[in-house]
Amino acid sequence: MNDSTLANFETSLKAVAVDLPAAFFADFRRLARGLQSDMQVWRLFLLKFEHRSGQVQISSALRKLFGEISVVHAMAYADWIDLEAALREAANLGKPIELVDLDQWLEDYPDPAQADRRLGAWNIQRESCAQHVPVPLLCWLRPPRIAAFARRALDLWSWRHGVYDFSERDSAADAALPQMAALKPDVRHFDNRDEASKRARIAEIKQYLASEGDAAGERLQVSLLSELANLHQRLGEWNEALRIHRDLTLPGYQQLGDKANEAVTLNDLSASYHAQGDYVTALAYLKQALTIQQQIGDKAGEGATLNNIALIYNAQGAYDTALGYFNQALTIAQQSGDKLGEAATLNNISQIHDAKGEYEAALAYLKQALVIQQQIGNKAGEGVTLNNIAQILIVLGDYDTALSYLEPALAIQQQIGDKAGVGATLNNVSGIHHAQGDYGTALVYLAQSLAILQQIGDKAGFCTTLFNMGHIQRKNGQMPEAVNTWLRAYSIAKQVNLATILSALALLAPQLGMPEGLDGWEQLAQQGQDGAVASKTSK
Amino acid sequence: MLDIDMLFPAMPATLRSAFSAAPQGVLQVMAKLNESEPLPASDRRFVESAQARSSKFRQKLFSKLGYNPATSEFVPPEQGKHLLFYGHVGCGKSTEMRHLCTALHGAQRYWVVQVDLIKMIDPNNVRYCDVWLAVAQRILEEAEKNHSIKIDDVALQRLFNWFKEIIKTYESVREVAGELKSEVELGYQIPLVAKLLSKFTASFKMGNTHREMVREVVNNNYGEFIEALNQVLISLRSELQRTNNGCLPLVWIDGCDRFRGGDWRRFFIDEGNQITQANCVTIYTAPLALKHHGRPLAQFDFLVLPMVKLQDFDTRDKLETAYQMMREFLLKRCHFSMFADMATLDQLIFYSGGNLRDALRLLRLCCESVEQLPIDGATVEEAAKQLASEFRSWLTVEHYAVLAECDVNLNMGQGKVINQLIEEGVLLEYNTGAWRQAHPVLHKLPPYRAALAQRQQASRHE
Repeated sequence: MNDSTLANFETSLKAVAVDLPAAFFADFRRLARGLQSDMQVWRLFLLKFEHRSGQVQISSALRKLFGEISVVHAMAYADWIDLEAALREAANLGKPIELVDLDQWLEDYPDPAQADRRLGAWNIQRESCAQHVPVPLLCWLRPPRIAAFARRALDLWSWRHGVYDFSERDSAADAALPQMAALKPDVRHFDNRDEASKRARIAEIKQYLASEGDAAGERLQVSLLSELANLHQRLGEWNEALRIHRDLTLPGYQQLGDKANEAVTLNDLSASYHAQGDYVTALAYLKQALTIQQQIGDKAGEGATLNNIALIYNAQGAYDTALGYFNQALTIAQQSGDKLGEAATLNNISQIHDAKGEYEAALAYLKQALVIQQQIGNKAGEGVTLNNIAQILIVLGDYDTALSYLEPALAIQQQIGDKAGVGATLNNVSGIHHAQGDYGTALVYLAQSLAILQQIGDKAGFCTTLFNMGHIQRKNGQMPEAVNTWLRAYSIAKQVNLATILSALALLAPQLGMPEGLDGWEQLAQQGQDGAVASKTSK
Repeated sequence: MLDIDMLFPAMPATLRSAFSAAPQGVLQVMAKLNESEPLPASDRRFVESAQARSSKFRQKLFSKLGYNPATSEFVPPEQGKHLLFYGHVGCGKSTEMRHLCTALHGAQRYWVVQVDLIKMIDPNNVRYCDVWLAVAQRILEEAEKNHSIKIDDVALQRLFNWFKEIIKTYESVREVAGELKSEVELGYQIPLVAKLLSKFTASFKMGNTHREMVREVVNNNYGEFIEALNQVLISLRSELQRTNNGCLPLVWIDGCDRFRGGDWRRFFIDEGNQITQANCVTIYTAPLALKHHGRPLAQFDFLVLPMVKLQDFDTRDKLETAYQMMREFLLKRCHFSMFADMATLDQLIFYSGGNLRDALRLLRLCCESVEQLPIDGATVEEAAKQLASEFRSWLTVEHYAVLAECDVNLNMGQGKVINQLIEEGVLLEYNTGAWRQAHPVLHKLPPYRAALAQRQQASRHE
């Protein structure tokens, strides 16, 4: 390039930059000169931004100056290998590539290991990237990601062409920017989404929150965060759900003074603790929620909370206390025409009757619940109810009918990505094979169920499944294995105070030559050594 | 404008011509700057840096290899020798090595074969067998180019038979050998064996589905391979002497300093025994982090390429020889008319800390941001600030404290944080590690200045 073409370039650069905020000019010129000097080699330009306005203004100015620039959306690719393939393809056009969504792609949330894996793979494959993507690569990153880039991918970092700072806020430009269409919270229908749709919705919410940030408004932000946490909860990702509810949603609603939603969030938080077997914390949150709902006269909310409190007492074996809370909840639901609440409560009441051996009563409540669930199209509830009906039928020995309920239950649960439900249903299918004497098949289903329950951290479900597995192993002539399995179940049941399993183990003890009650199990647990346990009890 | 005649009085015509040929204009300078690639041996931008780096590394290297350039006396090692050539990332190891190899190559010295690993294998997933198959390939290719060299039939056949055997035995290897399978039946020749080797190295580079299986086969048969290669090397040695091409082969493996962390640890530390089984004088460019790794590397000799030392660390005086070398280095890449004066150029050199790659990075930053040529002091200050702010992106409070400590305390020894800072070029080592100093641009950062002031205050109270 001779002097006159350089002068022309600088003139064009200044003409384009005239629309940019003054704070951006110096780094825009650095970037433009860097791009202009050579378009045919791989170079890594790290563009720092905080607000979408900066990104939009610079992208637009670059296009005015250089014409076409390819765009690759990082979020469309699961891993570096796929992203690199997309970059290679884009590089065929011989134009610079703007890599967008990279900030989200490298985000620690919800899975820091994934961010590490992606960045690590890029760091490792840097030579390949340099060789096969022979064009400038413009990477938009927020400051924390720039730091993560430097810390976790030092080799790649040392290859950077430079860091260009467009992070200063330009409020006028922010206001002038067309906002993304506001994302409406959808808190009623996440139960009916299938797993892929839940994941897509998670990505959609995250993208919206990342790009709009404060501009979205605090109420919308908190509502979306609440939906996000609930989606994670429905996918069995309780820790993530708990983190969002506890650290973001609850303080958000408290700050907004939104008592009704504060109580809903306390309920949601409790559900995550309940699922992980921490009944004490779960109950404490529920009682806070109940107080708030009674203060503000939120009947529907009160009904839901009463139901949740009852469920915890039920899990702890306090059936009468549980039934008292359920009946209060049922009255409220019926009075207020809350069909969803009514169906859920009927389902829950049936569980108490089931636990007390009143199977016909349990079935009657469940069939009422099923009709309502189907009327209102509540897929998740329908799956749970079908499953519960099947459980009772198994106890009554009507295996074929039970299976006819379990098959649609499994289909629904798989469709909506309800892993916890799938785990429970597999457990029940196993129960049928067990009852029919086909222990091998029963064990296969139980192993599948155990894997799912462990994966999602459902300790109560995991414990119940272990207990069932012990019985089948015993019948299959695998006595030492059975005792070890029950011992594992005992340790977990004791840890989370799971009354149903503890009482079942207490009843089982004399059959194994141990004193009645839990002392024998405790002794075995103290001995600790599986080998010792197995040899002692198999005598 | 900088007065080049005053700066380089009585400069030879070649130097004047190199200065005149330097690009003029910011975009032209930036287009020619490529900090990551070493210069070709004949490139006129090369600058003699031995004196500026001090520590007599050049003499030390020649001496380790049995060569005395003053007397041309050559007493090579009897057995193979494996030498690690350490240096900071971007300090000029590969460029320097190319020139050293030119000096070592000759009828009465070595017959040098350069192996550019990055071009031959996948540097992101390296095993010893990949490297030595690539080396064998390069040796045979170089021998083939020189028609006078004839490798002994028995030696070549042994290497060829090694291939034939594994091709016959292992399905995965047969697929890699591809269309050469039938040629194998016809008999051995240098080109065929070189082609077979290249098929294997290509399969390692491509990372195809067979890579791990083929590697496993090669690893399991590595002992026979290396024995066959050693026999080829013995034959090559006598051929070189017979044809007056050299006394013995020397292999320079470039690119080992660019292996990722896990790979260089495995390659040099865990697989050191396998690597050094080749009876050959071999030089490896190696990452400085390996030197600080703390594990003995008994199989290897080593040498450090020191950073250009810009000041005397006892007197803190500016070292004119080093500055002059750096001026030449920069003015061959950026026309002297682009600098306002010598003070500006020296200011840029000061901020580089003697790290050649950072000097180029600062020059590029000046070109990116200069308002109007020539580049003046304010532009250099801005460039230093920019480089510092890039370092700041990842430095933590702990890093600043360690850097300040290293500036004050000369006996800091090693440590994970220190090694990381050295590896990343924020803590610079001089005199083969005896001296360390925080990168000069860090003085632009308030948290570093605060950490240093705090440490200096503490040392006054000690």
